[in-house]
Amino acid sequence: MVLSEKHIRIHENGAAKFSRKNRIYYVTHGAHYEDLYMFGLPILTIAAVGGTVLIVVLLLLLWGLHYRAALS
Amino acid sequence: MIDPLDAAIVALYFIVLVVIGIWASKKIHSMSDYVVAGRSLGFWLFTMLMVGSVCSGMSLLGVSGLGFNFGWPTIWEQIFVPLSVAFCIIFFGVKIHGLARKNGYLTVQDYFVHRYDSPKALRSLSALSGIVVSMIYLAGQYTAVSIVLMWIFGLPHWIALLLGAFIVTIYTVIGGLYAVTWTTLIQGLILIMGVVVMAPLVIMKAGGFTHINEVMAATSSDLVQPWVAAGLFTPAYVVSFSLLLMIGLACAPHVINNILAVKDARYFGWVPLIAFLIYGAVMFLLKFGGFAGIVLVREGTITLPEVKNAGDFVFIYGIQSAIPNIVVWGLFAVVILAAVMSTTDRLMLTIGTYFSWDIYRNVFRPGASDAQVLIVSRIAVAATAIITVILALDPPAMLVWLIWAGIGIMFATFAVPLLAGLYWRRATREGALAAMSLGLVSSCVFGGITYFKIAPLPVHFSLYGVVIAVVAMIIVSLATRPVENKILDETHTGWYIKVK
Repeated sequence: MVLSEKHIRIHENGAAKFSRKNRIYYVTHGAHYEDLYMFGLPILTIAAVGGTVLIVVLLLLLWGLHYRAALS
Repeated sequence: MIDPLDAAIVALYFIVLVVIGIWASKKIHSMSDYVVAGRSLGFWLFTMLMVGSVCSGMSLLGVSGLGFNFGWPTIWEQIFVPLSVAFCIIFFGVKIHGLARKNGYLTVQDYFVHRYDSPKALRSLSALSGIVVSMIYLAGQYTAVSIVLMWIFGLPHWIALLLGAFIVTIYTVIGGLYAVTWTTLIQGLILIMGVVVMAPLVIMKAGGFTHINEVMAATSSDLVQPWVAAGLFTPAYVVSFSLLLMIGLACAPHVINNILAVKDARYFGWVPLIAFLIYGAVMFLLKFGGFAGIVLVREGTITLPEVKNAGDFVFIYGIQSAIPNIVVWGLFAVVILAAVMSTTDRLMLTIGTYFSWDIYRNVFRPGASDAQVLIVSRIAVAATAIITVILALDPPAMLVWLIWAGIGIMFATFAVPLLAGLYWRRATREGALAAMSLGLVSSCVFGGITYFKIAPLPVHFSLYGVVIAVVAMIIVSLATRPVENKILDETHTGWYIKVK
């Protein structure tokens, strides 16, 4: 893969970050990995945290509705 | 940071608290008024009391500090701490609240006595465990008060500690739960407004949400993962940590006793969701503030002090960097004090009540009058302040660890007798005593193993205590005589949540 300079940002610790087609790559002290990303985060993080929050809110909403129905 | 305007802002805040205490003292006519505010708490007072009880000062500073040190793997704290309010209300509160109104419970120990038919042994063990664990937790809160006052006024640690303790003690002693609740409402509003306004400024100062995450990822890939493969915050550890936060805080004495003060059971429908959204939003913002600190430190915008818990200072320094206005620093100091004091006063009142009602009135002096118990309760609250201030004067290095350990010990000690008592008809008094005592002892042992690094544990130490408590409850209960069906029916024991 050929990268132009505008796609690369060298961080002060020597880590390089570059992105291409909705993917983000990091090279940090020789270690390389890649992840789909959103808001600078791997999709796994977005899905795990966002999904848990969503499920919790839905469950608490259902509890509220169930409780109100049971009282009436 | 010594500025007359900041000092005036904090002084005004203290005066408001004391005035509320004086106003609330006029409503105190009985032990029930003092301990459960005459069971008169409305929807928002109750919601904010629950939020304020689980939101401590050390956690406020620690939330951003933990985020600064470990990144996104710590985000689960922001989901499961607010969820503890919902767990407490749904699984404990709905049943216990109805029983409390019908039978006049003032503490959760009254429920244990009724359900397990154990007027002395279980009440004493439960109350003493609650007092000890709450005092450990309280000493940490006073240390946080002291940190803030030292930062504002440049006072010596002991003077800052005495000043903070004096104010909290005054309004708690004279105003009981009425004062605690109304001050918590004000403190909660200050906390929410303060964090909602200030945290985004710190995040923007660091370049915005996406930029912060990119810098974190470039620093270490582990900082942006939901969990890590090795070390702290592995999936197994995250699960045990989440259970600890959700259930451990739900059965903490200063949280579960709030249930007994609610005016109307209808509130239990929507308080779980509202509390989760309010507290969750505040805590997420604080965590993101900690993430922003990673960027601010890396880019040299701020330099943290060279102390062991430097991460705990990241949000304070972030605010100073983002808002170079000294008046705002005073307001921010009030925000932190509000978070700390909303837990501190509730803990003091809980300890005072456990001593005066459970130990003094129901074990040593069964014939004591309401007025005598009320006096003992006020003395106990003041004595609690003195003892914990002495503990906090020279806080041990392991203090922060002890605060989390305190919640872990609460989890291992109270969760099993409470859940089994409410939902398993075969649970007996002997089973509850075995579960509570073994949960307490084993969690202390496993806590020691973790602290002294005797052996690495893959999950939080409290989970071992809980497993031992569950096993003890099952084996001992099945081996002993069942509780009478009449008592089980009276206490709504069974695999259901009785809504009305």
